[in-house]
Amino acid sequence: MSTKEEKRRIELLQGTLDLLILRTLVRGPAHGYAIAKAIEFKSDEVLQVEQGSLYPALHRLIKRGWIFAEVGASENNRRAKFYRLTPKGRKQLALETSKWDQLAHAIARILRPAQQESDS
Amino acid sequence: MFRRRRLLSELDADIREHIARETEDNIARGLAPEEARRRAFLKFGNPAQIKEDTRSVWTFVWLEQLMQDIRFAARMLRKSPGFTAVAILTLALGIGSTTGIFSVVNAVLIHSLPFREPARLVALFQAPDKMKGLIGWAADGPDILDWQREARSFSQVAASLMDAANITGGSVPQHVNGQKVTANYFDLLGVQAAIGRTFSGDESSAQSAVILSYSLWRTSFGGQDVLGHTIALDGKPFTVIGIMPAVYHDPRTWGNPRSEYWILLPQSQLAQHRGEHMYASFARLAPGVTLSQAQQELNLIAARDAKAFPNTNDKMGALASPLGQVNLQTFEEGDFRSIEPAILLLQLAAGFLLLIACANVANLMLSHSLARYREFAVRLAIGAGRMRIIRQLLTESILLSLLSGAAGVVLAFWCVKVLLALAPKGYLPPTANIGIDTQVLAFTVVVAALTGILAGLLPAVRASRRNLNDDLKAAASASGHSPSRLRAQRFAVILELAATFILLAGGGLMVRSLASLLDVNPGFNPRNFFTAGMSLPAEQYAKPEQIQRFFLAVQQRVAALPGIDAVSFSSAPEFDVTNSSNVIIENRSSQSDGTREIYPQICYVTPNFYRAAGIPILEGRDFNFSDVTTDAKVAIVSHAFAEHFWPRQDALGKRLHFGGSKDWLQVIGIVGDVHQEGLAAASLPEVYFPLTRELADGQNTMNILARSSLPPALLAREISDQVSAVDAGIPLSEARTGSQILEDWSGYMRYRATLLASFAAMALLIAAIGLFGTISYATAQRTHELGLRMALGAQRGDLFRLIILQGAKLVSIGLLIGIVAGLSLARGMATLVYGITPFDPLTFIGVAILLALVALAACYVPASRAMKVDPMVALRYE
Repeated sequence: MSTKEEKRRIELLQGTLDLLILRTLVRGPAHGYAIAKAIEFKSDEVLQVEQGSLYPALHRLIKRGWIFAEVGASENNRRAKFYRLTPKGRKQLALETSKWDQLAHAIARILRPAQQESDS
Repeated sequence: MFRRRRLLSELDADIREHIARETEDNIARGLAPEEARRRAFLKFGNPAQIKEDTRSVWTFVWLEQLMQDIRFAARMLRKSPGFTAVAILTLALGIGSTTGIFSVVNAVLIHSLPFREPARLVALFQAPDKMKGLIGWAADGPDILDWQREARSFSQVAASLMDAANITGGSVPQHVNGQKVTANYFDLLGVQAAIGRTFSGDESSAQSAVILSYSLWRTSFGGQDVLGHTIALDGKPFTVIGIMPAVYHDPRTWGNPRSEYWILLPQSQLAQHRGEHMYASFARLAPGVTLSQAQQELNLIAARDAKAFPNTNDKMGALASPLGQVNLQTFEEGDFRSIEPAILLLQLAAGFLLLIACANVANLMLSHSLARYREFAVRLAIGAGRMRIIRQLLTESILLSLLSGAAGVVLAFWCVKVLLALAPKGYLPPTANIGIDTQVLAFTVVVAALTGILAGLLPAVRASRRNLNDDLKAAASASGHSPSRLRAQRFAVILELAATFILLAGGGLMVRSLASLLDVNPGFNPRNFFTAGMSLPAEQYAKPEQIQRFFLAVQQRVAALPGIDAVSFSSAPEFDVTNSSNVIIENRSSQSDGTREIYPQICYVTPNFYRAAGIPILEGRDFNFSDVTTDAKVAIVSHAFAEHFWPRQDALGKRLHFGGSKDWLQVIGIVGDVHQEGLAAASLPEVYFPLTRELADGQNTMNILARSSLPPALLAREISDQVSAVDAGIPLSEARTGSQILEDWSGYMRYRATLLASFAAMALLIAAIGLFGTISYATAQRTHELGLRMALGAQRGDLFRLIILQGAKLVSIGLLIGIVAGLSLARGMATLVYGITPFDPLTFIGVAILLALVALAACYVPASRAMKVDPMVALRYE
């Protein structure tokens, strides 16, 4: 039972989560659990997201055609579902990353104008 | 979307795997297996929710949820069959009857003129100066010719004349009704034959040609190819040139019988007999001409004719009435009246019934959803969205409405059939497309659906509020139960009761009117009474002696049959008014009466007429055979005639004169009055003449009257046999019994009474159910309170009275509103009642008592249940 605020937070997070997944897969295909661990590790547990919300995100990305799923063998020779970036997904990642950079840059300039000047 | 299905089916496994791995990790970190698993679940989140969220990525969420809602709704409806059945039945009744009524009304008002651009058609009448209303006199032939020649407002003017003939050439000789029509008749109406052709406007091609009706073609000619064949009408040969479509019917002006054939009315015939007023006339307005313009032109022509022919046309005006309005007039009780008030009444009644049905269903839904408050609270507690619950309840309401709509459609079909079947002959204008009007159906279903939605919305919205705790407690507790909801229910019930009262009052008024009408002495004795018509072809029976000999011979033969009490002939079919004439009283002119022109009715009869008809002879004697054979100069008058022309004098022995005979005739008898124009109309003065040789001239059509206890079918056959013995080619037509005649005379009132009473009965049933439901629910809610009362010393009888009082309060308020509303609406029914005023106190009081009794009976069960409350249980009831 989510209230309006929680819903908004989740939507924001969805976009971020999608990006993080793509970023994780850039280095190569991984299965769901590995992706979850990687994100947890990378973000230093700052992003408090339920692991489970990974799955809707994965399906969303598959629907959009940015990743696809295939069955393979994991480390201990278990059958697992692996997710892999598609070319479209790679392009999307590059696009999104540059957008994020621009946004972060803009915010930084607003927040710390002095440092900006000293940087340039 | 196989990928989707596969992915989704694997989702379960994926999630399980994920959690399993996390659990392993946790164990590796040193947690106990139980704890490891628990932490893993916590970290993962709610799997059910996750699954749903994942699924929703792929689907049109609303569609799947809708399907789910529908399935759930269906299940809920099935779980409470009582509620569902009553709701569907009630709503179906409302939808079905309303749709049926409005479909018929639409067909009658809109579709009953199967002509081209019917709005441009008018019926032309002649109207003696002081006449008001839409229907006037038959037009005069030469005047019609004047209109054709001179009236620029009309693009065409046509005329028709009622005709009848014995048709031979088909399977059996039949006596049928038809019309003689001018050559431009079908052109003017804009109709075409289904097979062959109609008259083309050129007279030469229409000579000796006949067009048959569809029904005659099928019944008498077996639907076989008859084009070009010759048939005989009254012995004269005619060639069949066309068959009219099944849906075609002539425009209706004076309630003519259905035509089975059409032959030519030549212009030359129209030119004759100025002053005889025999024809129906129709015209099509020229493009751009308004009705008032046309009427003005007609007035000019009429004035001109009045000067040119003062003997016949003096003070004779002309009248153009729109065919659409003329179509709605029927001849009732001596006057032409529109059926519009009756139609309006029926529409109103149907509307009320729908209102009652909807109020009832709303009530039911309110009660029903209340019982599920718990369910909603629980669902909300475990995370269902508020909109979801509202949507679900709405789905239930809409599903209910749709099911009711489907049942309603079936009912509507049946309703239309019944409405048409019960209608007295000639009451409703003949229409072609009688079926369900889809617009009307859509409207009613929408109304019903809206009601369902609105009724379901209120509890749904309240049910999905966040702070349910209070509501939960309140729903179960003794006194705090949602007062506004109960108020809404009470309001609905009061509305229902008021509307039911109005319907009952309307029905009661009609029923009492019918009873008053049937109380009227028709003037003749309808029991064991039989009548039929026979028509002698003009060729073989040109001389009056032949005519007289035929009818007297048949009469003597039939009188000799066993089982016949009396038999006679009369020129008036079923006592109907067909003949009237200027009558001159010795030492008086019949037109000296300034207030109303008296054209007494004229009837030619053979001896024994009054015994056969059951009309009492008040003074003097009947005609006898010697009167008839010796051409006696005698007459018999009706009581009304005697009162009018010789008030306070003895009419016996007085003399009168009329156009059919060159001698003065002496009154030898005075007889009782017959209600020629219907039970509610006054008797018209009537004079009877014997069928002497002089008066038999031209009386080719007469009607036999027989008084006998033999069954009518047998009687018809015996009489037919005797007629055939005298002349084989003369068929009987329009055989009717006395009770059938009475039914015809009271048919229109019986129609109204039956329909209105049926509506009222249905409304009563529905309202009773509604009241029962509301009181039951209110009582159940008060169980705790009732237990308390008993614990504090109340007797069971007190509880019973308490509940009954609650019901009585609702009933009295409903009755009050109903009475006030009923009285204000009653004025509109003034033209529709007979023998009583529309404010008839007996009806209102009687109906109020009926409603009160039924309502109290509905409260009886919940009240007696209240009596059986076990205080221990009730006090614990939470």
